[in-house]
Amino acid sequence: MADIFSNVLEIRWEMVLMWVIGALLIWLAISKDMEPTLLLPMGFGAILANLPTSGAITQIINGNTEEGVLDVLFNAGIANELFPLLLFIGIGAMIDFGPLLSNPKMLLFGAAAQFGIFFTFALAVLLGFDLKDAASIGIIGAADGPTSIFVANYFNSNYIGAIIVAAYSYMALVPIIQPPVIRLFTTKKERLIKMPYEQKNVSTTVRILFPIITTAIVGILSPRSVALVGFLMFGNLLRECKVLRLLSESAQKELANLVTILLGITIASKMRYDLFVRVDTLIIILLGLVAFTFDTIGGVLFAKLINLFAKKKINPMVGAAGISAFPMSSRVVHKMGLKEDPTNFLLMHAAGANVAGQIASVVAGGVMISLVEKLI
Amino acid sequence: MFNRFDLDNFLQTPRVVLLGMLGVFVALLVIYVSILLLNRVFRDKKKKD
Repeated sequence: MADIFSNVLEIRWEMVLMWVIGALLIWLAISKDMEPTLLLPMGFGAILANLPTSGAITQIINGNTEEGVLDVLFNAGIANELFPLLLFIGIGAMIDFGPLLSNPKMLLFGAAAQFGIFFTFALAVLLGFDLKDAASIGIIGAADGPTSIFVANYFNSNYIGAIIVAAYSYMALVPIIQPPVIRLFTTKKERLIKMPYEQKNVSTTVRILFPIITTAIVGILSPRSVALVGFLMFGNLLRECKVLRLLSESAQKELANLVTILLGITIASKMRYDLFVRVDTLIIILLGLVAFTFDTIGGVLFAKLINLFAKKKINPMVGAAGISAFPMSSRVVHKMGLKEDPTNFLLMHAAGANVAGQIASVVAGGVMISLVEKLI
Repeated sequence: MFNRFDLDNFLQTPRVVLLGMLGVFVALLVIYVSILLLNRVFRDKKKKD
């Protein structure tokens, strides 16, 4: 009898805290519809990984190492960066770069809205994190799960669990985080700026050449990002070539769904109480908020800077859509525009900036790796 | 927390911030120019019709 219940005595308060965090993630996913595809598997995985002597994670029992399935999956799919890259094929197949191709100026807002990544990196170093962990934390500001996983894993950060939780949670919280920041940094007059959308047809040739050329450019300028950009653009090429409709649909649905299921639950192997229940985790969650906030500020202020010189004024709210959280950020900006003036439709401009943010965040991840790698 | 602060590391950060943002802007500027060129070379034929 004592043997049966001996495991109960192994329960620690930190484990119970992780069950509560797991339950909270599941609740947010189901009740609040916050990134349910990832938060639900992560929440369940957090409970699974924090049961006493859980067989789901690798344990040393009586001197023998017993491999847990979550760790096996982590080594097979995340440690070698496979899952985030496969997910990028699906994301690439889902994205319509049309609004960006018809108005490529929006690319610059994507670049400006990566400011939060680098600002947060500096802040994390100031708070005492080493360069590798600071770079991994800063990349939460990429507002892009696969890039965050890729960079944190590249630097072998111990905080990967907290980083991923922060990245996905804040992506879901974009409609709450961005509006007050945008309002704080814009005037009513600026928010009322109208941007008529001129429908420009983009030829099929351009749509097909864009992913190929972008991969080549980013590969040459930022070789560390080439895997991420390459897989993203490969997915987009599947979509745009029009002769691989079934493959494109499979990438958007089956592939993306399967990888998402595995990714979410596998990340939980890094949500073990001994890695997660720390003051640092709380600080990382707060730094993630800083990253998203400064991304938004970077995009808005860049639009205001452009307005000093441009004849056709840009609504600075569009700059905020330059973060990679697609399509939430463009919807937020569009709704804010409609709230100010029900005849002001900013969706297509914001969508252009938003997909630009997708490319920019991947480039920022590669640039961060290249720069920090030289310092360590 | 602050007792882990490393001044040498912190002094490296302005360079990373500046070069990082510059790197992102340069990469996206090159993509911007290439889209402009692509749109010019391969105009949509439907538009002409």
